[in-house]
Amino acid sequence: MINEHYNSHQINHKEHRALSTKDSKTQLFVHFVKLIVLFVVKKNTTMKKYLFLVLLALFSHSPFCFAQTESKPDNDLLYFYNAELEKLDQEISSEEAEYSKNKSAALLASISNKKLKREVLGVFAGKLIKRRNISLGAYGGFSRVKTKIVDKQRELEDKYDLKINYIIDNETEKAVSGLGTKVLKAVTKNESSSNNRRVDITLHFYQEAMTLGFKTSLTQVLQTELAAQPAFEEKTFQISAGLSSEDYLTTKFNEDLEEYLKSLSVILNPSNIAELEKLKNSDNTFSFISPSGIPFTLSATNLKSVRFYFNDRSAGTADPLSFRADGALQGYTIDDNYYGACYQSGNVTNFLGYASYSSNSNSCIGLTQVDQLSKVCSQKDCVIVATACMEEGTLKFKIKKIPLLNKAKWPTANHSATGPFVTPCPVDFSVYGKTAELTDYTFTQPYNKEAREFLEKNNTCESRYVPYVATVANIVNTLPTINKDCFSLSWFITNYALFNCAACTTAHFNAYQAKVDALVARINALSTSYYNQSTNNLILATNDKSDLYELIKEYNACDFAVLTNAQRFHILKLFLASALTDDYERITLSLFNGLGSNSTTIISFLNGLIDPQNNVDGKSLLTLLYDRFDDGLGDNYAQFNKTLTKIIGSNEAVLTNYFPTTNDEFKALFYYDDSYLFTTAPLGTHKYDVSMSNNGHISVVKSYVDDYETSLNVYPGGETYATNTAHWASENLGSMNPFTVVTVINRSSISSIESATAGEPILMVPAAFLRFAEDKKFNYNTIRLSALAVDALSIATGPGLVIKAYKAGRIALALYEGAQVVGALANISTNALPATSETKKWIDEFNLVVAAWGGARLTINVSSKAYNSSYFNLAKTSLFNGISEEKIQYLISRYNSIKSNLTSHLNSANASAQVDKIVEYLKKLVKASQNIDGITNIFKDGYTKEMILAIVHGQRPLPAIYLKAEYIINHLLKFDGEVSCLSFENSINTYGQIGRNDGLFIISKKEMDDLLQRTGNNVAMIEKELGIPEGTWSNRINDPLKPDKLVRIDVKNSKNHNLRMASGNEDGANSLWLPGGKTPEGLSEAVIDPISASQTSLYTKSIIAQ
Amino acid sequence: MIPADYINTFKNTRTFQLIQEGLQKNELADVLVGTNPYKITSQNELLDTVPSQVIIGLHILITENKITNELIDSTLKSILINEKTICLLLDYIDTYLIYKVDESAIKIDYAHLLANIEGQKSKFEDLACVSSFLTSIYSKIST
Repeated sequence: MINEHYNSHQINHKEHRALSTKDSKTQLFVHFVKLIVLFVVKKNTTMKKYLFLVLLALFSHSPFCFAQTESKPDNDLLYFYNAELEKLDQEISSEEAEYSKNKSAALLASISNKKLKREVLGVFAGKLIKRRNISLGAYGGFSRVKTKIVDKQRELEDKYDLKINYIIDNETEKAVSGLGTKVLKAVTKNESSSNNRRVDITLHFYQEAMTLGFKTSLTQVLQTELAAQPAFEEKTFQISAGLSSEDYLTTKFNEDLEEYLKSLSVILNPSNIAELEKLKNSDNTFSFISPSGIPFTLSATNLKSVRFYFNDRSAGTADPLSFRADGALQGYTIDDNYYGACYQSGNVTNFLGYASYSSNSNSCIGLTQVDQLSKVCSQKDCVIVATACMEEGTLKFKIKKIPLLNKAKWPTANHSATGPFVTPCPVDFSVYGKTAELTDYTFTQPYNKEAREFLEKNNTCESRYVPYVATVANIVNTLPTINKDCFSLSWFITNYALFNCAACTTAHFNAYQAKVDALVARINALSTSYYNQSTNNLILATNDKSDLYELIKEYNACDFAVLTNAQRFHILKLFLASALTDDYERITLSLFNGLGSNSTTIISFLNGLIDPQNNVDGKSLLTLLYDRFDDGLGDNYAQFNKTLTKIIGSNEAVLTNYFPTTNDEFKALFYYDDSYLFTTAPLGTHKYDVSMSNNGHISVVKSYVDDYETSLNVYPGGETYATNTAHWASENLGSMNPFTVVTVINRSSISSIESATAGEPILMVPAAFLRFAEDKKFNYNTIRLSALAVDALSIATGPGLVIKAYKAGRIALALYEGAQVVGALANISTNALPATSETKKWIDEFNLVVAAWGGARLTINVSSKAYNSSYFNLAKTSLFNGISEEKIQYLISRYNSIKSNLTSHLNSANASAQVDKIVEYLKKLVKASQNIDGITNIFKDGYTKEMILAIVHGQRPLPAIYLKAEYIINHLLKFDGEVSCLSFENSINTYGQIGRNDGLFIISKKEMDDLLQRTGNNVAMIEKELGIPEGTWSNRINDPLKPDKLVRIDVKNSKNHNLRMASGNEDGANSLWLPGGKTPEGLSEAVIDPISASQTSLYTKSIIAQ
Repeated sequence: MIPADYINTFKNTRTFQLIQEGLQKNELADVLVGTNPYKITSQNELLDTVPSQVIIGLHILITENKITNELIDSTLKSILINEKTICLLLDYIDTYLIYKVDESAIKIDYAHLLANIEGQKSKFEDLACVSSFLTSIYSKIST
């Protein structure tokens, strides 16, 4: 038998903790009633009202229900105390300001008194918040308490597994009387700690010294643990000094307490098994799970250490593929005897139980250990497993106690847990049981570079996923031969990338688990025979499309990886001779994915796709691929383009081979989805007409706006109005090799395009991709209103806004757009520009950024000084993360070598004058927009507000027709970044959408913040501010049939959602709508596309009133 | 039960005024659908009206003998079932089932309306609100 003893986490035994005590719920209730009675006698009528509400709410529950305090607190009460906190904050702030001018003793006393009241109220409020699951969105004062006090308190409690109670002594209560603190005190209670780890902090107000004292009392357990520390004496803080009105003394005290508690070592480390104690069963035993998936219980007596499985084993061991269930018990030490998991040598599939270990013989000896204890699995506490959390490619380990997936498997006594090895542990990892963290564990075998890269791409703390992610990483790490021959690292990353684990479900997990299991099974199979050579030999002999399909339909990535190019071409010729069904498309995709990483093979294959010798019916294979693939049943066409892009872009040698070397190819700069802000496209707007010839080569005709044409139109009433029409000029860019690497700036929001471009805003793609783009019409026919002009404006307004763009992560995009706009009339060369040209400096800066983004592919005048190693960090996030720093340097050098040819090609006699003309145009826009607030007439000549309003809903012209361009720019700049709106939750939940189909009305986040600040989230006041008829919204919130909630929506980036002026034709535009983007109440409004409620990453929702 | 103080407050709202106006102008169908000027929702909601608010308004009017159940029922049935109205009508049925637990003033032949919708729902399978409302409605009917 082989005894498993390596590569595990191990913790050792130390001591046990005492059990818990619990408070009497009934006593608390009686105490509460007494307080209430006293209070009713003393307080005024208003307070009685609140008290009545409290009593009503509380007496409707049984005493025990009350003591559990699970009932929802009365909103009026919350509102009242929140208002008190707000009021105190404001008064303190105001008096502090006054005191800074006038050092009056009376004022100081007043400030101190208010701070004391606020402090005490804050502590009571903190207890209330902590104990109840309440939404604080509508309560500003409470929210601050939560941030300042409760969050830190919870953090300490979680970190050190204890409870912290704040208690106000009687003298202090008297000092703050008038706040109704007794009521709050009654509805909160001191918390008990299940393991008797409690910190009681008594607040005492020292009137003479004007200080607030925090006196700490620890339970015996904590006293023992902290015995080595100096006593934690009472801490006192001056009430009036030091802190601003926004701070709580309690927060300051919490910081001191945190420092003191650091001595509590509940964090696990390998040399201390005491951390296991909190996971112990009530009968002084520990339950683990064996690698056969059967629970195994040990007595805590004399248990000195335990080890858990984690699959970080190195390759080359006897059974490199026999992955065990991560987190299962691998072995343990009782007294001085270690018992490890055993299996029969040569038979890695059966777990034979735990037996003695001998380091000399490396085998199991002696009797198999028996679990003599019969246990019952409770709902949450069941077995202890070790799990890992992956962060930045590093694993952190935790042990936690969680239930079995199938309780029926809990064994009876006297078993040894023998059975087949299972993976993963049959436990419900999704349950959050008692948990502690191990800190000192390190891998026995460090992962190699590729495995670490894989791990970095798969960060997850989802316990269920980690073993599987680690399993794939182990394969990458330990089986380089298989990796090289069958799977590339990018293949692993692409196929075994995790889902977005913020939204992970069991279904996601099961799918991922199945994929990894299949991978392990496949690799196991491959360990003896990589592929079926005899089947592959049949490929060239099969000349019927259906027969060939049957032959290879079960092939996997590895099978495709070992095909010869001749076999690949044969498959493609047969397949592409007629239409492709979805199944054929998928196999063809696999064929491309299986090309592996051999650059010679890839280049030979790609060239073969346009080799006339492989033509079918006069068309190249590549042309046929583009003709035949479609997105009919899925997104195969997009996936095909994505695959082709990755094949070229992720391999240095292939990229170099197709890197442009001729002048003509330098025309290939493409800015797709060339959106603009105006109804009439601005000067410089680009369009491209792309076609692919039968030989697979790409032809491009570039169109751009070089002038405006003005025409007069007549309204039905006889009045005339002017419209500008863009004049488009064209330039034939000629023909390109389809694999030449071109640069595309993608700003399309069309999902099918994004699926092929991986959402990258700037990417290098083979020119053939342009054919895909043309097919999707995401350039020509999807010109949207968006923010190009705004970005261009950022360039034109100088470095200040460029820095702003940089901070927003958009510098490359902004600079590129700027260069595109200013360079629209010709392919300009900075060498052709005067040294003083304002354009030149922008393009120089642009070149710097482009260099970072992947090799200075684009333009002009890139010299060695353009390369700066700091930019490489930026480049790492691009598609070129597979390319070394040296490679980028090489690419830049290569540009330098052909710069002269490039310059002569791009040079144009008129370029300089044309470019500077556009710069002047942009500058005028900027200048005008800077003064826009002083402009009384925002309408173009011949237009008035009344004229637009006279046009019926649905037929109004676009704002760009009648509003000045500089006004539109200035107006939409107000919505840069986050934008907000109000809506009702029932509508969102029922229809799954925020906003109507033709537009979601928004205001800027700042205006929303100001609105809600002014109104204090009071619905009646919000109605008034927004011109909503009185009671309309509040009645919906209080609707007895279907109560609703007023919610605030904050959309994260307006530019991603087609930000535009409202035209007044939207369904949501009512009779009060005004042209010009202002509401009747003076708020600035705009419109974005509606948002699906399920796309929660795009927005945040908070309840304003319910 | 619709509380008396809620009814008192509701009667002072623009929403109730619109319902009354619609009734007086013999435009009840427009009220039910929320056609301008009877739109009562905010600009960012997909529907133009709120069935629960309209039902409360109708409840008040019927208790004041200003409208008949027959008119409400026939008007509801007269609304064309299409992509824009199907979920609204289902919302009316769903809300009515809540209403009739504690109230009885309004009597709608919801079963007939529901049957009509059921007969046409296949045309609107893409609308998620259809299935969610039907699930909600049948859960209420079954209890």
